[in-house]
Amino acid sequence: MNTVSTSEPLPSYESELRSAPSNALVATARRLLGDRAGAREVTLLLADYGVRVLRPVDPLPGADEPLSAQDGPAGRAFTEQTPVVEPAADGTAAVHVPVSVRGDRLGVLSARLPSPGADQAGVRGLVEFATALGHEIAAVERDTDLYLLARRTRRLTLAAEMQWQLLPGRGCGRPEFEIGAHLEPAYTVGGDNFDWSTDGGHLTMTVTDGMGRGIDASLLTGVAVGALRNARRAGLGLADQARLADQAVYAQFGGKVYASTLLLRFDLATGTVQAVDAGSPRLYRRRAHAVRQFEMEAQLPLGMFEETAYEEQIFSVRPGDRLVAVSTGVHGTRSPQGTPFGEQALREALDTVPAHAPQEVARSVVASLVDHFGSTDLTADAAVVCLDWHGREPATP
Amino acid sequence: MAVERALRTAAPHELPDVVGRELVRRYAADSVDLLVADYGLTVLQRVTDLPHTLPPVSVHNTPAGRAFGAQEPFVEGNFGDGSVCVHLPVSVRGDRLGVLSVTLPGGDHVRECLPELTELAEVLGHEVLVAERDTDLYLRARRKDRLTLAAEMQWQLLPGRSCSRPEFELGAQLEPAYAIHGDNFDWSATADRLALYVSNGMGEGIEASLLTNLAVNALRNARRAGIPLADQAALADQAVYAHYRGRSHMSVLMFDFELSTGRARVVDAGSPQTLRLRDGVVERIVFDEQLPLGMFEETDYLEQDFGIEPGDRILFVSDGVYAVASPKGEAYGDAALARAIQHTRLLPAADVPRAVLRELTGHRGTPTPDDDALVVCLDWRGQ
Repeated sequence: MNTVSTSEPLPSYESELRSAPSNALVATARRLLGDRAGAREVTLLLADYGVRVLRPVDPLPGADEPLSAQDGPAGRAFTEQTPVVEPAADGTAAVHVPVSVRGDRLGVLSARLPSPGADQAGVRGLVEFATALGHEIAAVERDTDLYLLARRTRRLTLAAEMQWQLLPGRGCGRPEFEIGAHLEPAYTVGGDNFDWSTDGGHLTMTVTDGMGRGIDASLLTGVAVGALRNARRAGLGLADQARLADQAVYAQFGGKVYASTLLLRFDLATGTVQAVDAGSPRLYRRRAHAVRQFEMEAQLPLGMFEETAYEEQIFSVRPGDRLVAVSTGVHGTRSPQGTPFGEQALREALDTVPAHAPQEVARSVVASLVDHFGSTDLTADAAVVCLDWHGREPATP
Repeated sequence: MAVERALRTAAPHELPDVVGRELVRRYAADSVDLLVADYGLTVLQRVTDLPHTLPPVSVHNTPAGRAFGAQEPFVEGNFGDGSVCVHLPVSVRGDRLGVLSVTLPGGDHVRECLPELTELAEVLGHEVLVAERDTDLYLRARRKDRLTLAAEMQWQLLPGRSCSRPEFELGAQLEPAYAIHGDNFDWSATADRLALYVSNGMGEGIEASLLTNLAVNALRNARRAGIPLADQAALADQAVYAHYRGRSHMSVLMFDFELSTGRARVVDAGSPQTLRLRDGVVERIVFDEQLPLGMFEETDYLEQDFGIEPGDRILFVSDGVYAVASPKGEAYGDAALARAIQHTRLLPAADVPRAVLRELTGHRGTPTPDDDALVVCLDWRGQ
């Protein structure tokens, strides 16, 4: 497939995607893949907020049904983040490839490639194209609702609308680490949030659980996360980020409500972690098949009292470690019989998916929680963030 | 281009390095700097390892500033001798992020490679925007000062500062950029329509910012559910009232344009003012003023019709612009605003808001505004 050629006389497909109107990326992809690779039935599927289904953007006639995000060829391409090829009798092949941005899984691009094109090189070309398309979708989302609409199987509550617009992606991957996160109930979430930011030397990650429900919880979390980011972007250390967010929340709400936050800052070169545990999100580590909860030094939630001082504690992660942070809605949820989801269930959930990617882990922990609770209508928000630590080769500059 | 692939796989903070290496390899560049525009659009600051110690570059009367303002490459030095510095706009679909400055050995071949360099800068712009989800690096480089918490929350609610499509061009600017409270603009375009909201949340500081956050998200939530304009207003009104019980409210002017015809539906729920420049004449457009969102329980809103023609320029200004008094007591909105629109008529839409706000500073006679000032400029080209 000549879309990967670097010396083609045509403008590169990236340049065509960049200059396409924000609403026309799918039409442009159809045209490019049709002209340059003979592809037909080109469909962009995006994962819904709950990561249960893949829904088409700008669907082709008769192909507007959502597909499972777990099963079937497209679901497998999404879950396993690998191309899935379905050869047909006429020599063509339906090819499904993941659409992702630096480890954040957006969806799947499906296309029927002609018989001479559906070989390894053709599939590789489609994978490359899908990644370029994913990046361009991320670049246009501020100018159009189109892609975001395809992700909704139903209307979000206002609290969830506010919360999702505050969140980064659902995942982030780099050589040193891979993060996957999941929030439930996705369409009605209130005060649970996760956030991250990386630079050359560090990764800062937070999990926040704003008290209360609905819009109140969402506004509270908005202030707490906004203040944490504001302090982080001013170059302050972790304890001071917590201190300033504490003051901002207290100034706004006078101690009536508060946000529980776990703040972590990883040194990418050494695996040394600074941590502030301001409230209830819990942190578990899976190392060499053993799962244990980190005994963190519990400090006051953000905004509970005036002028709380926070202290950082230090621990370290090793290559191969998997960290899982869960909000109160996860570890505190009870089954119909009254058993809390708790550590045992969480261990089981972590043990059943040892080989999967962090986003799958986060999703399956929430799926176990839903099983445990007996309904998808969880009574409290559940946020799960899974981080796989790969570390850095010591020799790498 | 292989560089595009390299940028997609690079860590989010490494993008300038990736482009730098490519420029050294391909053009033997001596130095490569990515500069990003600050929140107030007054200076360009280098994206470097933190802390940012290099002095910022003014957007006025500097080579990099000229590339930024004109949105085309600006070449410093002669092609013939020594080395030249090429300043390239870094933009994404009309939203101007900054400038890529490249110093490279001179020679006539430099002129020939300008299109390639320009494209490389554009590639970098798209990737910077994508990388901003995962790193603070570019956001931090944009800060000349620290943002207030209210402004931090407000900026993260906004779309870009400008946006262009074949049918229209939009530009917007908010002042004081580092300490805004409740003014907001929002847009979203589909294949056939453009939704545009200009709003002014009551109050100050974090209170104003939270109110705007609630109201703007309620409007978006309704819009994304496919609900018509008047009902979007009604739902946002209810959401604001349910939370604040009438203590706080938000004024908003809402448009839903049909791209093929320029016909629009409008709901005017409060104070932002509309001025149209058509055939050299500035005229104030008055809509049926309805109640701000959240002032009373269960307000019904009505849509009215409006039409825009190719060649029209429309400015939306918040009361922080319109009502500002000069030291002599003349309100800016009366004649000075019309004059400013005339003075800036040759500028592209993305430049107009900043230019009008600069004239406002002159009108007010003091450098710091008392209230948020918002200007949005819409140029209509039609289909």
